Amino acid sequence: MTRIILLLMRLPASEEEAERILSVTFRALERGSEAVIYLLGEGVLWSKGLMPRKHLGKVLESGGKVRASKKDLLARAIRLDLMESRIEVVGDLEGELVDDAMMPSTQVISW
Amino acid sequence: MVAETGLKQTLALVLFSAPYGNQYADHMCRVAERALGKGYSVEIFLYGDAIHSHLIEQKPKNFFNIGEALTRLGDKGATIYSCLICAIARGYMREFDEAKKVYNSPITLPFVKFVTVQGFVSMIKRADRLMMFGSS
Repeated sequence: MTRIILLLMRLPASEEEAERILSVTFRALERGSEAVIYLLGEGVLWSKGLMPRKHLGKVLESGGKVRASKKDLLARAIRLDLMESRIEVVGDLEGELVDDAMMPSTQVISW
Repeated sequence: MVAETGLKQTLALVLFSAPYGNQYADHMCRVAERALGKGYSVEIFLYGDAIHSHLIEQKPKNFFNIGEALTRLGDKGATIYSCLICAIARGYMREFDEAKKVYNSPITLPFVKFVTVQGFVSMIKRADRLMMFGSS
């Protein structure tokens, strides 16, 4: 099975941009591939802002996975207890990303 | 980590953004550090404004020092390439060695290798996986 990793390191400027960025994950999921979104640095703000959070919710509902960097969440005062429960908070996101990215049939797309 | 071919797997990282204005360089260095720690071979290409990452004597007061991070990565075995044309454009190349037909930069971390876009393509061909950081 093909795996798509979408590494998000900044926030979308608009609703259209969010849709465009995430479209790759929806296409992958529709084709039976696995899609995992990694939120790193400013990217963790996708889990907080109303608009990007709505879009991430759609990814989760479609069977995608979302993982966020704990240190970057805490650095931005995002309360872990108020996080969407399906988002996995990871202590060493960079390390997990490397493990995940080097798996066979995996492609990493970053933004 | 070793592939079925018996060769060490290679992770190629490309950085497009200058250090300190955002965190792309930090993220790239941390990913590279983890990959080396896990036994992967790491190759890094600095392109566009990212070449400011290899300037010597960086002294950020409150930020993650990218020059020191690249030095640590080089010491641990990462190969670090820089775009020659980008470096010439930004004034890093001040001497041309006629005998060796190469440019030398006295203000660049010594282990950085300057290559053209062909070097970039070669790196991508060697890599098992590619990750991009930042925008140009």
